[in-house]
Amino acid sequence: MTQDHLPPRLRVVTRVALGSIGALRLLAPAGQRERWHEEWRAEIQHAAGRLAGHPWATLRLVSFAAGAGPDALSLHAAARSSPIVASRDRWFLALGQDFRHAVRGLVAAPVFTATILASLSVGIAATTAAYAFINAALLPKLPGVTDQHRLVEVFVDPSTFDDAVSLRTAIPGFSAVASTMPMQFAVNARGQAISVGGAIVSANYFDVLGVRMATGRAFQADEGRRADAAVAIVGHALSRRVFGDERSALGGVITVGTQAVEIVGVAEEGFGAARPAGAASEIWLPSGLADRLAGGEDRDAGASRLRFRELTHIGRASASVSIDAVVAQARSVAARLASDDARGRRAFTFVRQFGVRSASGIALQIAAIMLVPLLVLLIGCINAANLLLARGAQGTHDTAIRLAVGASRWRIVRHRLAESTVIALAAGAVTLPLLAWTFSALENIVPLTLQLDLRVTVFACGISVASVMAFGLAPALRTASAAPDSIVGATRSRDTRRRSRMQQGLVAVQVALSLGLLATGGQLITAVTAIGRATGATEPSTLLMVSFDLAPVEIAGPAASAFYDGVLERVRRLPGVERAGIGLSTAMWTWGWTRRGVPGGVVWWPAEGPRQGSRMIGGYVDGELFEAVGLRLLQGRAFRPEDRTGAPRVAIVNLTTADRHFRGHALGQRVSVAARGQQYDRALEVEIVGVIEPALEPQYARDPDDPTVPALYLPARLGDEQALTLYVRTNGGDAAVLPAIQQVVRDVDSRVPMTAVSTLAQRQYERQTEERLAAQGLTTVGVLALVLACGGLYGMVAFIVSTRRREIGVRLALGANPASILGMMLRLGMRTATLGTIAGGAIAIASSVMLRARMYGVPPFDLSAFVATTALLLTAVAIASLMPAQAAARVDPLEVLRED
Amino acid sequence: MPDAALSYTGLFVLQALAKGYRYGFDVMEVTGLPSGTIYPALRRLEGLELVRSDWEDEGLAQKDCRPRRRYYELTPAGKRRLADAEARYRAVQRLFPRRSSS
Repeated sequence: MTQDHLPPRLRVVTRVALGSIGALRLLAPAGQRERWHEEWRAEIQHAAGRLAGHPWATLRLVSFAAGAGPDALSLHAAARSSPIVASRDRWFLALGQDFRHAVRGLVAAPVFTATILASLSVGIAATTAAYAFINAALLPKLPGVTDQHRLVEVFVDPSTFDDAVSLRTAIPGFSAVASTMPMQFAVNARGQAISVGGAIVSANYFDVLGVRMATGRAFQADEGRRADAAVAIVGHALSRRVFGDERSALGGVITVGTQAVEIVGVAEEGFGAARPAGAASEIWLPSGLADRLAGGEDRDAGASRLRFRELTHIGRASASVSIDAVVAQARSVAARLASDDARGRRAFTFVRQFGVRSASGIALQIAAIMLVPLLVLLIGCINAANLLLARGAQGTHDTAIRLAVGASRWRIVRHRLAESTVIALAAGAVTLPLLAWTFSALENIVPLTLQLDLRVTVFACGISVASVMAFGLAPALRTASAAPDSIVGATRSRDTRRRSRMQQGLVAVQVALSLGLLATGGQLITAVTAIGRATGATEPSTLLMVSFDLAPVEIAGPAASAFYDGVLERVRRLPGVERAGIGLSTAMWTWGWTRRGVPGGVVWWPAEGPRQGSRMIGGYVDGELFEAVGLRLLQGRAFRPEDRTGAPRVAIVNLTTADRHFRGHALGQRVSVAARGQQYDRALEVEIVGVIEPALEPQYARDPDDPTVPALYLPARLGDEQALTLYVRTNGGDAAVLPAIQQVVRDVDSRVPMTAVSTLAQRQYERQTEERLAAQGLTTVGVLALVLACGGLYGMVAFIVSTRRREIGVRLALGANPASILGMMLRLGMRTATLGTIAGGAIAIASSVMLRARMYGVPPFDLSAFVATTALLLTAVAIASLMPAQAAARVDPLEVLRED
Repeated sequence: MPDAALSYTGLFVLQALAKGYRYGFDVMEVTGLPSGTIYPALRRLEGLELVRSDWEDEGLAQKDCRPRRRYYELTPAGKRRLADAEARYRAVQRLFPRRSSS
């Protein structure tokens, strides 16, 4: 074979082409196979020689050789010597031509192509990204965990580490069960007291989760049982922060609480990292140390113990069992535990796939987010449909000519089919980079790892393809079945009018949907801001809150009191501090906590008997707490210094308590109070001497009309208060105050770390992550939808202009003013937009009524925002319809009249 | 022989052969249609006896160390059909002087 004169690359391609011809030979009928092969071999070599030196030679040779496939197949048909017309039965042979024709047609109409591709790809990308976001938010991928979807969480309260064994036996689908008890630890590393989130875990924890060590080792089996196994595993980030790098952390000794432990391993990077609404886990200690670090079984004795005696068991499903079956097994075991009274009290249990976030609190937002991308997809598809209808109408004339010169009807339909397919494929090609960009942009905003959900992508693409096919083919089918002369003639006005009315309807729906979305997003944003304001505090950014927990460092009783008194007294004297007080972390705001919130004690309201009693919100407060947080005294008096000595004898309640429990007359009334976990026989009677403003708690109350919680405050400790929070009102420069407070704490007791340090504003921001994201998402989507709707409007007006060119020509010929033509077309767009605006207003009002029933702070109907949005929309509409309208006004009457 | 309508492709191929392009590749080059369209068209036209093919002399090919080539040319019937079709397309052009974008 003579290929030596060819350039090396072409030579390789020629060889590949010859090889594939050899394989394609098998497609040809047996009798003609060898001759066919010989012909193609000759052709390929001839082609290679001819193409050498041409640009794109290799590509052209490949595409040339690709023709051998259809050719080999066509031999079967040619063997039957079928006539040329029968080629429609072998439609695949001319498919390539149809596709190229379609591509050329689309390239020739860039505005149409760009608009339709943008509509479809934005719709698909929005849907896919939103569902990926929801997935990631509800079922976040936890870095470092192997096969997370095979893990099941079984929460049992009360529970011990020994329960893992019984769960493993009771649930046959589990191959292994690990246990974890999340805690906040007071860590002293290299002389620095820091508060670190982490957990006490069973020895097999890292094995069951499949977490690798960056360096060092995981726990050994005996470390889960021995009480003297003073070892710890730390997170990658913590090792970097404290020791510089993970290697030097290994073997280091740190103090956790009062226990010195040696670091034996550093977990893989990323494992335990913070998530939205999930603090970072950075230190793990073996269950052998549980009793020393978490205290005894008396879970109600202290704040820290109450919060931290909660064990989660994590089981890994055996490879042979489906995860749903394992979850079902675990549920039935959990249900049995929950009804079993053997341990003296019923267990609280729940079962879920590992890492799943409970959606109860954010169900509304989830529902909103789930529906909204579907709306965008819908709008995108409507747009595509609109544009395709317009194109179908514009193509009517061409179709008629093709029919007239003998094109088969099937051929006409096939051409449209090819065009729709090309559009669908191109939309897919545009969507991919758009999706990648959206994902990376989203990941920059929220700390989530997003994963493409194949089912959602397929669904979104399927809907888009279906709408493209349906609306691309419908006009073709109709024109193809009509007689050519009826199309070419001037009798198409009725058809056109019906189609344009359908388009106007579609565009009006788009405008309505996008306006509704925008308005709802705006209302949500207002609501989120309202929750932010609704704390009763004068200025959230100048209220600094610093929490302490003395239980882990084993400071209790008088020593604890001395610590807090010392800190409070010195902090009040710091420059920049205006007011400072102390109380429980939930004394003022529960942040929506119901179960995990630390009660101030037990209170027996007048209507409650000795065996009842309620969790007290509020509790012990000291210093100028009310002044610091900005709650005014409404009735009676404030606490006096003499109230603070000894056991509490007086109390202050908030207005909500006064209204709900005393019908507004709380002063002078007496209630019984006791420390956490105490019974009525240990209760003290206190007299209510004052009533203050209630703090607003929209996240706790969830009742938009009364976002407050009844609270009762005491001037002195009821029991041993080890976990308290310092509330400091600064004069605005908290940056300078914070280091000073840190120094004060270090001076008073260097063992005590500050746990949660943030301003009220920061804490609100964190608490509202979900609401804020929902609002922003809704608004973004609304803007997207609006842009899409404008595209749809443009398409519609352009279509109407194109179908009415003749009429416009006649009008101009009869002396109509171009400006009046412009006005006519503008009015058309505006009428549609106005219809949509009215419907959109209705949607916005309906959604605000629905939101108001569930959320605090939603404005009834934000008229100014709605007016602003509408103005924006109408401007966009005007611009969108102006361009085709101008084209209409420029129509040359002579040319138009000559056309048909 | 059925007097069927000639497709665009068929017309192009006949025209190219009439102009003296005789290899499949050359027809493809001059018509701008892909090989997957040209070859099946050649087969059809051959089946309709509008086109006939000849194989190159074996000795010539062996001398050049390559497979034999297959040449295509119009039959008299093919020439007649081409002339007919040309006349029809010219008529169409008079009917629709503009807008024949396809």
